[in-house]
Amino acid sequence: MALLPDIVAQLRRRGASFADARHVRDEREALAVRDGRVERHFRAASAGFGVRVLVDGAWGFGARAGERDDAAALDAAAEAALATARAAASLGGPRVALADEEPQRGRYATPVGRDFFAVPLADKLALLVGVSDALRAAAGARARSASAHVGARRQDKLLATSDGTSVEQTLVHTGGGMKIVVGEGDAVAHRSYPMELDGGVAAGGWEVIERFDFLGHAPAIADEAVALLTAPPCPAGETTVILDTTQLALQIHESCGHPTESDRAFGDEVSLAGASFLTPDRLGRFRYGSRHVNLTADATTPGALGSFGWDDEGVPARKTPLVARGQFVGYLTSRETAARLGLPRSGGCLRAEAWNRFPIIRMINVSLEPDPRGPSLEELVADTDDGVVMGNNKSWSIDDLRLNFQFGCEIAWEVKRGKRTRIVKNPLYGGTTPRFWQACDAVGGPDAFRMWGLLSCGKGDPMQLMAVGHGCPPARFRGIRVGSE
Amino acid sequence: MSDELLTRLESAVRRAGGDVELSVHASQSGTTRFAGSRVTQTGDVVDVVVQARVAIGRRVGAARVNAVDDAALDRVIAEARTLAASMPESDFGGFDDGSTPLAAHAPSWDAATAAVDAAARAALIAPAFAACARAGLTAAGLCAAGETTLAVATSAGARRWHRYTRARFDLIAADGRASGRRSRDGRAWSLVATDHDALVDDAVARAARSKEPQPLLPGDYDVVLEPHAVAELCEWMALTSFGARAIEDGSSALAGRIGEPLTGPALTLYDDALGGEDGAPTAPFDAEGTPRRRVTFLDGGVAREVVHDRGSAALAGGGARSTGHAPPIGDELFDGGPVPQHLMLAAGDATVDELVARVERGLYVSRFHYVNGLLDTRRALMTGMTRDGLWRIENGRIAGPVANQRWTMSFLDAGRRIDRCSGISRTRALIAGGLSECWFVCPTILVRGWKFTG
Repeated sequence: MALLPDIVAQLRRRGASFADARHVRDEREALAVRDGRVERHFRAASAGFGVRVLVDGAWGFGARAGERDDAAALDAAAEAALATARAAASLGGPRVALADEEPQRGRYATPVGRDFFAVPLADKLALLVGVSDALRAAAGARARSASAHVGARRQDKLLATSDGTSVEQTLVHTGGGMKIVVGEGDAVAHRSYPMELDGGVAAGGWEVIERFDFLGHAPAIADEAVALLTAPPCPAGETTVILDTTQLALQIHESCGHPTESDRAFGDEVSLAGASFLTPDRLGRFRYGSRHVNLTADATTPGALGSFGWDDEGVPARKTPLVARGQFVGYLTSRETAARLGLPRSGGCLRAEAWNRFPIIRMINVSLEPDPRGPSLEELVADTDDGVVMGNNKSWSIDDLRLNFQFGCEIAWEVKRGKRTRIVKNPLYGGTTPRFWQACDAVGGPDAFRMWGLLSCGKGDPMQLMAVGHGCPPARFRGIRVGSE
Repeated sequence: MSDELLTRLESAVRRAGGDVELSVHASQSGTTRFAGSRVTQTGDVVDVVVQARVAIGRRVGAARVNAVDDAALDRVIAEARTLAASMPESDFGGFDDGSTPLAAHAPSWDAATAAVDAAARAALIAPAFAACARAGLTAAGLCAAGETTLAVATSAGARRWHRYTRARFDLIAADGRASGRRSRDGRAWSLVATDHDALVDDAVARAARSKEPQPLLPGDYDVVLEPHAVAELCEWMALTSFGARAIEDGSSALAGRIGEPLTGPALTLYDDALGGEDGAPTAPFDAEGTPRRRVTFLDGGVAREVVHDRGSAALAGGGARSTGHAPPIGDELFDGGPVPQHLMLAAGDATVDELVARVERGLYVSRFHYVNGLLDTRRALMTGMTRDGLWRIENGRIAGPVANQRWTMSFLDAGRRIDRCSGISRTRALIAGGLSECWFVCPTILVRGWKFTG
């Protein structure tokens, strides 16, 4: 650890108004089985230094591979950071200022029940082969492929800043998922559990995987996939939509998480992912949703992917309201954007995918708060005369201001007179963000709240993939455009 | 450089004994990103990823590390061997033996680009800032350069090495209400090319032509799609339909339809990592050391073949062989098996002006945004938005700007509606997560009846 405080002090003496230095050692394991065969397995380790400096009001960054005692690698990263900062400063522009933060000391570690990396490979294989077999058996002759995967990532991070922070943390993320693809003639359908893409992921160890009970859910998932083969397309029109938590998590991600990123609001991300309709002039003055809608960013949530001790510039984990009773009230911020917004403190959202990436503003755990007296999913259905229930995201698209969206789901059920009736396939819904959230007339209760994790939130250029959390109960939206294409 | 690295890899393979493969992806990358005519992110990063695979009979283990010293190589091979001992038997058919020579390929390494540093990037950005300021606009975008080295050594005898330089310059000129954008993602040597000023001028001019966009009624419109828009469509076809895994599970638009016409005759799509068209960096072998070959997915609209790695070819049987498209090591995003990384849409012979002249009432599209091709992969149904320049075409001429629109369209249907393709192609680079680098080289195309939903 001693190398890092020394280098940031040295960088200050060499003209940096601020410096921070990280060392990250990153270990991953991924294992995937398809139709009983191992399709993918690796263990990977990566270690290196990332150094960031402010020189003449401009950022610079350098990164070099190396273990934590590799002084030459750290020096090379520091030299690169200085050179890039000086070049950036030569282009002029407003000087970067940082919101204050108290110097931080300490250590944080994700609570882990059973270490994923210590679980014998044979046990992991047995689980995945069993799941693959169970999916195929349940789908019968229509099974085209059955897959299951598990994986984990452990990051050991050291951080020192020139204003006195020196912290250490170990973050562990573990998860898995399964998917069945079925076909008959020219028709193909699939179902996944608990979510498509990354599956179910959380902060913790092997116990995260055990909680999902893949084997227990395999028959139902396979049955639904087979039912989708002959299901009619989702009828087109305007109707009431109930989103279960597996889809609402992504709706929150795309239409609340990203537009409340303050770097997007300032236009800093425009060349890749775009900007935001939630511009600073709207802070505190814009009706984002109905009175039922309360959204927060919280890095202190136990067991969630976006939880940590400190972000990558040493700001401690915090909770920030983003939308309160429908009103837009807060952003995801860093020390730089907090200062630009005139806020006294950062919200603690500056994170880098790895040691070799410049830290940028990322979602932490952005969640829809439950209604303390809200219903369960089935109570919501029972309270709905005519509509559709959608679950598990399948496709996602939203414009560069995060307004005009269209999302597709794996499965939907029509609702008639308070009961789920038939399954419909290829359900899509679309709209514009504020109108959609203003159409929310019911949010589920605390017992229906689920915390989900996404591993692959892409942002930045070069692209960085980040683990983020989204908690929500199911919710209902009136007058939404739906269809199948 | 090549001999030193390869000798080190071969020595490690010999020391380890048994069936071993070492695959290296080393990179040096310099990036300056800007917005609001100020630098927002910059960096200089050097990294390497080494993957060791060890086979014990038909059991294969894989491990990765980011160091290439002898001790690190020995450790990562030992870890892969330990993992192999715990793995079940697979369809493993042996590591590449180097007996197939690499196909002729275009050079794609340039000393000047490899030497571009932060000061040189700033010198290229400064004129863009100045031009935007003169026009009352601000600049956003990116200037990046770097080099990548690929190397593979196996105990079976493969000994491969290749390097290429990368360069990107992307500029959005904007005033908060209107934007114009131009990019150069191809030509490894383009950062110092003479068209830099023209690129800046064109972005500024496009911004000026984008002010006060008008609404559009949803409906079917003839569209002239610029290469970056076309590339987004091709990217999703690559991800959903052109890899062996999607054929195996039937989700590919080509599954069960090989030999059948899926689109009209104007559409030919292929992967070519060798030709270096429009300066797309070449890569003559994949992460397994297998020589890449050209693979044609749609030939005049007829479904032909998909890409394989060694594992998918063994699984497919029937004499299938790897086409040299194993996914890059260290990749976290493309875990869907073999993947095209150099997708080309065959050019035609029209000029862009001729394409526009053939449209009586339609739209000229600069870019798409956030396309998603997972709606119905059998139909290649996609949705997306427009961004950074959308104009009405009236009576064969580009007219006023239009507000961004959502569309939903089947790629196969669009392929049946292609009227003409331009004769000049341009590259779009996709630098995704991890080490994925994909290049898409596409012409401007005219498609009849594109479906805009508002």
